[in-house]
Amino acid sequence: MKKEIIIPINPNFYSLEAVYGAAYIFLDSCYVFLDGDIKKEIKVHLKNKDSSSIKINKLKGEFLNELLNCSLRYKISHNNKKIREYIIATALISSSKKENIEDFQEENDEWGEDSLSIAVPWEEKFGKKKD
Amino acid sequence: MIVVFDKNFYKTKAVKNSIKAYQDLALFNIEETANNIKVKISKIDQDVKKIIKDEFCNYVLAETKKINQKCL
Repeated sequence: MKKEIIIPINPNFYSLEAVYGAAYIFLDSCYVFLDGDIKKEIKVHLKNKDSSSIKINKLKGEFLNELLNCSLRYKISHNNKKIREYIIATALISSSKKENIEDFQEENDEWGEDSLSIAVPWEEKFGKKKD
Repeated sequence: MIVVFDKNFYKTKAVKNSIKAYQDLALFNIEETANNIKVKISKIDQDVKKIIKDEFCNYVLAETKKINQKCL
């Protein structure tokens, strides 16, 4: 038999992103529906699936734990956003510089071979030979 | 069968994508107001009659999360 519980969540403590994150994790084990007031109280409806063996009372505790986990993750991710972007940008710039230097060296090596003797002056090639 | 989605929690695009995914199982009519998206489900396939509403809601939530992630 399907049972439903409603979990009230205070949006001042948990962001909507965290609620989405926790709800997404529970989509496999139960049916999730969101409503309520986004500024005052978000209501999360959890209904267990027939195939799910998890008891509905246990679901509430697990959902709240997951919500806390997601909330912390989003907070850390938000706080580290700038430093993360800086690290990626530095890595991309340094790798592109290295590539440019390697390309330049390759071009130099190829030019150095001069298989068509382009670098040989005309006089040396076709000029009159001096005795 | 009617499902009402709050626009503060669910995206219209997510509802439309979900309708596309479920269109073989039932007939969907969508109606938008300022705050809500109203979806009327009719002519439901007998095999999925009991679960279609809940499964559809789950699908819309997953799509909404996907869309929100793209925006970040």
